[in-house]
Amino acid sequence: MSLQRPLEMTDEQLHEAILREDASAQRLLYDKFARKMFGVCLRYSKRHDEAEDLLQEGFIKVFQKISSYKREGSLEGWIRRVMVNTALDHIRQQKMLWTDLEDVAEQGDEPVIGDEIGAAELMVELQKLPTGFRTVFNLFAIEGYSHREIGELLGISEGTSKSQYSRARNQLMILVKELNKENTYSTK
Amino acid sequence: MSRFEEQFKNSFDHFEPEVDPKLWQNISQQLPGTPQVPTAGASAGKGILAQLGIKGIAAVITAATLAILGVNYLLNKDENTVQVQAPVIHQEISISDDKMAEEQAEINMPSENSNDEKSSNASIIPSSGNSENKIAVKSNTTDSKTNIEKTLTGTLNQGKGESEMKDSPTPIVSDKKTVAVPTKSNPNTVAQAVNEEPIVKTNPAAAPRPVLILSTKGGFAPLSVTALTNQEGAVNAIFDFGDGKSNSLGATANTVYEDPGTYTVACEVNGVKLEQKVTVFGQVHSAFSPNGDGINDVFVISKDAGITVEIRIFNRFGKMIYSNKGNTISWDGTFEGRFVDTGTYLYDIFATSDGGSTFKQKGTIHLFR
Repeated sequence: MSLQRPLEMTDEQLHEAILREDASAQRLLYDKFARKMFGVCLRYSKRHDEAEDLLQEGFIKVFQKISSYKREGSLEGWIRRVMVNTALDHIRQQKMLWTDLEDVAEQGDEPVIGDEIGAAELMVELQKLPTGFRTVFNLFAIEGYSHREIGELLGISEGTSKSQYSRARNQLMILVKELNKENTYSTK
Repeated sequence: MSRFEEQFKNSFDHFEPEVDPKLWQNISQQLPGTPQVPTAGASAGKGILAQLGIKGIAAVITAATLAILGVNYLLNKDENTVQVQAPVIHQEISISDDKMAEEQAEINMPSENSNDEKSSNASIIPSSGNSENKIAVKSNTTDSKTNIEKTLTGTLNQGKGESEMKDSPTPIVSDKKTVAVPTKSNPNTVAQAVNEEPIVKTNPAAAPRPVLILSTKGGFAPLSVTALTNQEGAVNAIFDFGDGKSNSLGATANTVYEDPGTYTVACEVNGVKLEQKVTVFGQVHSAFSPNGDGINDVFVISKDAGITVEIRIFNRFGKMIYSNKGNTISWDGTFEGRFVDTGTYLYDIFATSDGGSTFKQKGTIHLFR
């Protein structure tokens, strides 16, 4: 089954069509955002199939709750929030034990990620992180939440979020440095 | 926000990986106004679970381990699938004091060939009164539930429980006493458990001897280990994981070992000190991207991990696409000379450490391109 390029419809038109319960509009919306949202789901998952489950569940919620989208922000932003919330639901269900970690020494210079290193490579590195680190890194660095908001989202203290974040960042820097090194060897 | 984070953000903002076309089918079937066709996979999970619940009730009430024996039967029936599927079911029932010691021996000191199975941990926990005929199936993950279901129904597939273990602490919490651990090599445990009538504890003096149970005895870093004692309440249990972490909050505690090594997990409860050893091997990075750019192109287990590994890799339909044995494993993402699709692959490892101890581990590999 090949996905046909959706007709160019604006997000507003799409939204209206879906509210009219136009079944083909649902498919158009899915085709437009599924890949991007799969990228979001992957960031919150440890495994590929976990991300697929999240995407599926997230889109079902999107269609169920689309009437609550009030066009206050972009449609994409709203869908992304539904996906992130779906992921967080799953993480909360794991009932993780969050511990306050001591701050670690900063990893010297920030590595510059080489141009050849794409999102797929970074995703591989991100998925090496433990779930707590990965979640906090995602929420703070990619989604742009504050540590106070993250604390509320995950039921942890602001301080725990900060300490998890600094650990996550450090670990990622080490991973990226290794990646850069590998890259230098392989291009020689 | 510094440049480092910006680079990640920019990169991910434009990341649009391929999505399996079957996902839309699953989604559209669950939308209002479309017929509900049961499908394989996640959407059908609940139904299967409910079914399992009923089976579980029947199994516990009539003969507590019929299902487990069934598992053993299935496992033994087809040797080829044994490696792939050997769930451990911690069945939590009350047993008397002197039996506890025997159970403890079974659980805590498995013989070398029992191949402590860490990947599928599920506990079937009867509700305390049993009057409502309710049973809770507790499990770390949906996947391990699925594993058991699959085994019970005879459809054997690869398990994929390993990585979840790392991320789901406190999988088994119960104020009930413990425990039968049927494994392939010592099915006798099951028989013992069956013969024991559950005893409702009334006299605190008859408390069972303390036992320390670990969710796993070995595996790759980062390794999540949950420790648990059988003491009711156990508010005075103190766990020391030997990695600088200790905990004295309840009957269970968890740690994640980041570094390879052998650790001693100690637990002090009611004045008794218990110890168990855990061996942690170097990390297996389970995601890779064989796209020929020289970065993360190969799935590797290096000899630095200090183990000899026998590995088999399966695709999601259960077809074996790679197998190897040695102290260095490297898979380049090909099968019969062609690159395999992106997605999740399952591995099944039987590992022997340089020190001679063995463990089995199942897990998943992600392949990106």
